Amino acid sequence: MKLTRRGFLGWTGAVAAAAAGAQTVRAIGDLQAATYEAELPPRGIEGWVASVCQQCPGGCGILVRTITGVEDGVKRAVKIEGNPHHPISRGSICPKGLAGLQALYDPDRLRGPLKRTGGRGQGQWQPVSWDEAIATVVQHLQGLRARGEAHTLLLMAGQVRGLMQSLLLRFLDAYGSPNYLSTASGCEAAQQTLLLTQGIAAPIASDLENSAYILSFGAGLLEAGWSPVRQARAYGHLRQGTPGRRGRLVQVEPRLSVTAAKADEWIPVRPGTDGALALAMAHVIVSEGLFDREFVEAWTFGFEDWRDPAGTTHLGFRSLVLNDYRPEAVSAVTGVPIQTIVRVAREFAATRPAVALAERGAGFYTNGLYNRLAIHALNALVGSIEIPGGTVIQRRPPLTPLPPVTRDAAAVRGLAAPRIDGAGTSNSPLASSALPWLPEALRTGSPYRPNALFLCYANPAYSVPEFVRSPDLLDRIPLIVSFSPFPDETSRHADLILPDHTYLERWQDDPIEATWGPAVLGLRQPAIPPRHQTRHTGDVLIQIAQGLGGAVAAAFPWKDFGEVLKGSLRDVAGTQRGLIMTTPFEEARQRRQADAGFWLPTYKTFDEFWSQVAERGGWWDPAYSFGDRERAFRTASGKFEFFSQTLRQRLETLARRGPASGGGLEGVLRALDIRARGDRVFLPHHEAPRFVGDEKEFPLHLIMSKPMSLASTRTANHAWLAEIPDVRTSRPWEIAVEINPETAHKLGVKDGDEVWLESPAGRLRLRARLYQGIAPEVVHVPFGSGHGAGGRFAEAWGANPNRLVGGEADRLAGTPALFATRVRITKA
Amino acid sequence: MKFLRLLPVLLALAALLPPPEAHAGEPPLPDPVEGSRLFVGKGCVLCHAVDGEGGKIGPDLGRVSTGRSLLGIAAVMWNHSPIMTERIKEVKATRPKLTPKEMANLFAFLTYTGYLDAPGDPKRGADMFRDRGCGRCHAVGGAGGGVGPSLDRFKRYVSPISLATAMWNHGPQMQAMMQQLGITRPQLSGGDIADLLAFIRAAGRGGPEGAIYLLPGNPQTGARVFEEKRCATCHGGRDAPGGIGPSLRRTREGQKRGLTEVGALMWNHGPAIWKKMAELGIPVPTLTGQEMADLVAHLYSLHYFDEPGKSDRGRDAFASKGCAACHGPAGRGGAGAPDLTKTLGKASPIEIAAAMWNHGSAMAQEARTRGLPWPNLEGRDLADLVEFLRAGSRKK
Repeated sequence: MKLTRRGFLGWTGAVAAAAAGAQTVRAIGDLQAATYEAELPPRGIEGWVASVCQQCPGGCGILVRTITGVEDGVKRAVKIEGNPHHPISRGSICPKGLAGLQALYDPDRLRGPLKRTGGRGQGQWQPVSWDEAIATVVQHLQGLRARGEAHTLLLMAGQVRGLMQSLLLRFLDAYGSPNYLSTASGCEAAQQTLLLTQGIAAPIASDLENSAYILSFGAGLLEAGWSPVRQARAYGHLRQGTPGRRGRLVQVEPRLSVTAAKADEWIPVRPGTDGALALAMAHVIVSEGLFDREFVEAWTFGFEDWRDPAGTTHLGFRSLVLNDYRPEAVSAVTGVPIQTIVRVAREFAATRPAVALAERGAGFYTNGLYNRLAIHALNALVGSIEIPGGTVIQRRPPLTPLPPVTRDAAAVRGLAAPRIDGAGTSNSPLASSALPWLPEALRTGSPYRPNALFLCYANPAYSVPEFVRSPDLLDRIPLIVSFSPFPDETSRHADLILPDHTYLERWQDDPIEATWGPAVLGLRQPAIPPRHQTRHTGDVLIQIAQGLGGAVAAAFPWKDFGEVLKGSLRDVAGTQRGLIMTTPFEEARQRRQADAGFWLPTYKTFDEFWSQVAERGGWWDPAYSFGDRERAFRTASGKFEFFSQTLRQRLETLARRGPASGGGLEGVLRALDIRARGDRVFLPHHEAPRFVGDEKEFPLHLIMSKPMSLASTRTANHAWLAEIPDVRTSRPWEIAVEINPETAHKLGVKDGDEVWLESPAGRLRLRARLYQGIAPEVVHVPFGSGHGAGGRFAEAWGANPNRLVGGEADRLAGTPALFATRVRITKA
Repeated sequence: MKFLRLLPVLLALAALLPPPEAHAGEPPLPDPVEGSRLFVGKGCVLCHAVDGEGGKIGPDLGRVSTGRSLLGIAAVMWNHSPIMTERIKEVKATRPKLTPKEMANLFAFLTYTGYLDAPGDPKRGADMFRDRGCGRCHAVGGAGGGVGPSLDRFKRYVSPISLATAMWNHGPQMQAMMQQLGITRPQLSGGDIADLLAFIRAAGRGGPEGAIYLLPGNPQTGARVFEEKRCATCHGGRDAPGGIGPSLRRTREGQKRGLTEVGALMWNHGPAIWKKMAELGIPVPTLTGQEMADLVAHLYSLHYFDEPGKSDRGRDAFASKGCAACHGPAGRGGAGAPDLTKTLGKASPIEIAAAMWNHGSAMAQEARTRGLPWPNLEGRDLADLVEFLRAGSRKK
């Protein structure tokens, strides 16, 4: 049966209609239960506070409506709306943003510092004072330093950015530990793509709304991407923003996702073969002479075969794709018809500007980084780099740099130790953080045993597969300190929980990342005073540093985070560019002014600047200088590198280091499980993906997606979001496994049956939902629910597919291969 | 006396392109930033866009000619007043009232919009650099000649003023070198300097990161620069023609003289200017980037000043345009209409512009009631009418 987009939409509509009546009664009851802490607002005075959402990394501007009671004087947040001045969201907001009140009034949130009384993971606590909690941490950390073990402090952080991240890194720097561990693995791989091709360690951003053709390899543009509201707005602009032009969207992924359903064309591809498909398209573009010759000749390196100073000839990208990636051969690998490869390649090359996106759908395999390189190479072929509608580099706001840290001897010694995860070594030569290797380090005690772990917006016992299955690995760490405002899975293993305020109660800068070109600095500010005895983690970090004394204290001379924040914005105020967030009309005027080379501020003093930023929600610089090639290419050649000299240099340096790599470059490649040899290693190419599980025993591939309402692992306890019906099945409070009807028929599974989904790593009991829009050899489970902790709702519904994910990783990138697990289905 | 009559105009309107604050001792300048907020706040944006952003009911005010004088803008608003009233009703909005200060800020915003040149085209700039001989002496991004300095240092400047300033300051040496090398002095027009800078910004190499922006020029400061650098000797000051060089006071109606055009003219006429200055014993002045910005702002603002009208032409217009039908032949009122020599005879042009707008709706209604056609005015008509009413007010 062929499923058309119209047919798909009609089918989901019918299901929605059937389900709607039954759900209504339940929804009302649950909504009341979810918000019982938010008392009905009394008679009061209305106020609005501009701030920034933190329900996902998007960085949307919000306006929080508050009512201050006339009788009791209590300020309550009663509604969240989009901030029309914020350039990311322009007044729009997604369901997660609207549901932010349920983070603030979460009945299960932590109300003050806690000390563990029972065993690890048992969830038995007693309240302690902030002084006692901080003194306990200080005492432990002082002991480590005194024993020369400062490096055994690990700091694990999730989507932390801006000054808060700077303070965390500064703390480790002053204290003496190299171990900043990031759970944001998607960011890591995206940064490496740009590093290897353009010499810049930053995620690739795209000027989507000005593009005329988006070729998306697994980007959840209309689901939970980097910045869902921004992406949805860009999609609207792509379709209708330019009179007389309707941009095209082509979605490549194994499943008809929401984005694929809204696309002009969905191209199902076999899991892990996105890179091969991109290279076959490159073959067509090159062989038919459709590439941007001027750009390729002037601004790329390694397109043609080339000769190095020693006289050795190297393989160029042109020869590579012409020889290795003929559409007929690639069609057999990817399952994409030859005609489709050829047609889409021609369309992509003929439509300017066009942009190719590589996201989690293409990146969460063992060959993820090479897939991303192949896809980004398409952008270089058509010259879509640093042009309107192409890829851009996310600019950063010009924050005042923090003063340099003066390290004492203990810090110098600690920082000289190797990282515990081997990032930057043959484990993961490109990674700044390589979380897949932490469990092994904990198990073996090699290179050393960690003695303390700080958790800052990181919940590895939910998001990192090996910790999901074996959270007790964390119990090998003598002191675990969590800063989470919520009782999440990992915090259950902590010795101390020092809960942060929620984002609606604290000051914070929010510079956007990986979203767009212009620098955007949102200001998060308290909508209401903290409701409980929680404390800003920035303040706690400063207090711990000051408790440690000496050079560590000297590196944190501030009274509180607010002082750091205000001080850091002084350079932004004085930079003589950019503007306070404002209306689209004023912004257009200021943009035109900046284009002409002028800057006319709306403030005269820093205090005026600060009050305008607080009133409007932030600062940004709409001027983006497209075409600045020098800024875009920081590689050895000063050009886009098809042949990555950075990769070559990194791998050859590792090879020279000797035994660890097991024998030269060959040893390094074996350690990294890279099968290519010779020049192909340094060029975008298709590495056959590895999968956990025997194909006969586990015949299906497991993939996941992040629904719009569950983009963050923190929103599962928001009942409003759980009430949102699944976009395809129209069923709320349900996480099901999607199976192709053909596959289901062979297995004797019917729609709605309870099934076991099993992998070599574990099994989940789920309801089966038959879906024509998924490839027969693939099954899908949404990610974000199924918590073992975190609150009454989070623990009550859904399933965590990470429980099934095996231990494979993209070793070159140092990121977990979340889609590299085979599974099987049996009736429960 | 003529100067004294013009003084309120000069004080209130001389500066349309202000920096953040006026210089000490000078009156507050009309504020284009505030004007832009008024454009939104008063609802103009519901019907009009400026450079594509805003309503689509009326014309885009950034794309129609912005080279009008104060009274020229007031006349356009007057002429369209009846239809605007209708459109405002259709969109269920309220016709805004404007104080003279608000009107000045609004006009400053509209005028300032025209001051901003469009960004250059790097491809055109690259062609120019190659074809007009720039590359024989100068290098950009390592490509080009080594006779003159590399132009990469201009990479950070977004405004072509920096380049135009350097071309003026080094003009005599460049001229000598061009003669020595047998290079024909290229002639520049309109946006050439902006194109050249766009090419340098795209292809230039090295130097620190970050774009450099300038504060918009201050026409009051520019007027002083014009005097101090002795430009006025040839081109005339605010009130007196110079006689040696052409008057820079006015361009053609509806035409503006933007930044890059001024730069191009200074380059094209450089040799003739230097020669005449040598004859007159005037040293060729050098300019800083900000002085050049101020100077251009001054020259740009000149078109905004209306030439004084003629009272007798105003009297004729008062009759022929139908004003006398209500306000009497001498403008002293009648038939329920006010005495304009009292209400407007001593008003500044911006006060007159505000009054015409604020009363436009009621007057249109009255004209319809009386079956009178709505009089269309040109800026020059308005200047004559102002002079006529002023003469009337003095006769009392």
